[in-house]
Amino acid sequence: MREIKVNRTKKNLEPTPEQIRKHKDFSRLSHEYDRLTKRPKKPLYKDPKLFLLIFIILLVVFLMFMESKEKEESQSNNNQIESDQ
Amino acid sequence: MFFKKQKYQQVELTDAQMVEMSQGHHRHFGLLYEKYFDVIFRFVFKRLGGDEENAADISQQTFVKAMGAIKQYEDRGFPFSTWLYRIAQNEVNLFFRQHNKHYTVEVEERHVVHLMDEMKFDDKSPDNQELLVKLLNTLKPEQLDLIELRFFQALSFKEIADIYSITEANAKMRIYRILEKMQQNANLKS
Repeated sequence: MREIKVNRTKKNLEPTPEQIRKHKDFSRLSHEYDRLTKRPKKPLYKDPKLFLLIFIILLVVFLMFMESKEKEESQSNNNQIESDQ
Repeated sequence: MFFKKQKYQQVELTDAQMVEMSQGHHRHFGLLYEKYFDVIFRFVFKRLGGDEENAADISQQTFVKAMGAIKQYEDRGFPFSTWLYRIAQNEVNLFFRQHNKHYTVEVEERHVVHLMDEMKFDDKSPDNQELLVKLLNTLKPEQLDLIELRFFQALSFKEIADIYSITEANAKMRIYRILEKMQQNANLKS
């Protein structure tokens, strides 16, 4: 919502050439455009959150692998004991 | 050895050529940016009543959007500037909508007096100016847009018509209907 008000203090509401020049910057515009349109160049593993997620997944997989290996070993030991008896 | 002095003639590109180049690669959009930044910044600055920082942000946003949409731009016989004005107009309106509280836009006294001339006000005293401003503040945003473009931005009916993609006669009719309505309300109040 906007409200109109009469300006009785300033004489002119036109921007000065300095004000225009100050904000006229095509390289900034181009950079902004690239930032909005291009994909981030940062590799996924450099993202701390994603890195943590990948680390947790790998840890879980490792633990599952170790667990299954341990089971296998104990089963083979049991089998050996049974055969010895 | 004698070297022939080569004289490079600066070729003035037309808007259509600049648009075509920008559609090929966005880095050429700089030509259009250089040409039109001043008018768009001035337009937004005045629409915001002299708020420099927000005017700069909105102008930048206008050109980012124009740059993104330049490939879809089609020449429909209107000047290229009106396309930019339309984007800027939408950005300004979006800005006003985002400000839920009242955003005060200051307008120059001479513009208000010009509007009073158009409405055939005999008494242009500050009190009557305030009455007119009160009437302006009761208008719908789209009606106020038209009044602002015509009387505070001093755009021609042709330019306004191009921004809204309507005929010049239609733009004129819409504006004079609003003035008529305001005149009736002013008579009632006085």
